[in-house]
Amino acid sequence: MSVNLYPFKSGLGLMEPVALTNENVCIVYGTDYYYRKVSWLESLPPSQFLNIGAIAAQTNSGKIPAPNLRFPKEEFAQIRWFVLDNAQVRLWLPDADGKYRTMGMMFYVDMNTIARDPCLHFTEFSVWQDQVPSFEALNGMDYALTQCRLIGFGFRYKVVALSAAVEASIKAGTAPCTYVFATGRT
Amino acid sequence: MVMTYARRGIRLVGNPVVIDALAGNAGALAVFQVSNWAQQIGAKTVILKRLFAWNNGAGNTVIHIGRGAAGAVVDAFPPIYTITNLNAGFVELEVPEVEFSVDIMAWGVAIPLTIQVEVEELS
Repeated sequence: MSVNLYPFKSGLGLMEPVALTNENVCIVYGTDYYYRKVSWLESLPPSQFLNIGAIAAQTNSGKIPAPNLRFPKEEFAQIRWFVLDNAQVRLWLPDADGKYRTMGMMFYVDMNTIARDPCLHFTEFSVWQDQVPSFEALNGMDYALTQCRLIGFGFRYKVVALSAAVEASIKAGTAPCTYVFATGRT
Repeated sequence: MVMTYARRGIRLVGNPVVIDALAGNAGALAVFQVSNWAQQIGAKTVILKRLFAWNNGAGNTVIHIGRGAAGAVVDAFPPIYTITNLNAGFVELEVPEVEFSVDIMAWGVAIPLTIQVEVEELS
């Protein structure tokens, strides 16, 4: 693990990778821990990855999967995002497990988020392989939305398995590793 | 560089559109066409930021800006009164931030009129 790279890092640039080539990561998905080494990484420029579509006034869209955020085997992605239209949007990863969650509420992303958090580091989440995230939009206004667009960007990482010895060293705390949580919770 | 406002788009202009064939709603023409090409990635919308028009008709008239097919255009703004042989111009501070997910249509109670709009495209 580089000393200056970690999840949710804030900065003057929009985003930095969570790990570089040949660095160790542990992707946590549900109760599973996948110890890996980064082979290479690639940027994902800001793009519209999901349009939830029209939402009637004071209506919940339900959970809409974002299949554009699926990745091949042995890849994970680190994504930050914002909302282009006037809805409060909650993230589920996977469909049954909420992100940004306390015992009392699920925090949301809306049009104000980018003003309060210009580098969007509080929105960061990770996706492991093809474990599709879902987004749920709440239109609390008295007018219908004709679309609800989400813009995301970040990095994707190709990883390879670590040897049992290195994995044991990481667990023992003698080898560096960045833990990447790619899951919500119920 | 950091972003501080999600709804900051790209400034684009439509062509000057001459409305001279038919007065009334049925003569409405698109003054800005929203991009919805099948291969395009994501949905685009536009916010009208500026309007510039010329009424070169014989008398004062009213311009309507809205959405819908010619003959059934629904106003998106209050009608704009224009004086014969003068330009009518409205800039960002004067124009309500109305967003269009379909083409921006314009028609005149009397013609001819020439209308050009400047928009901010979001996608």
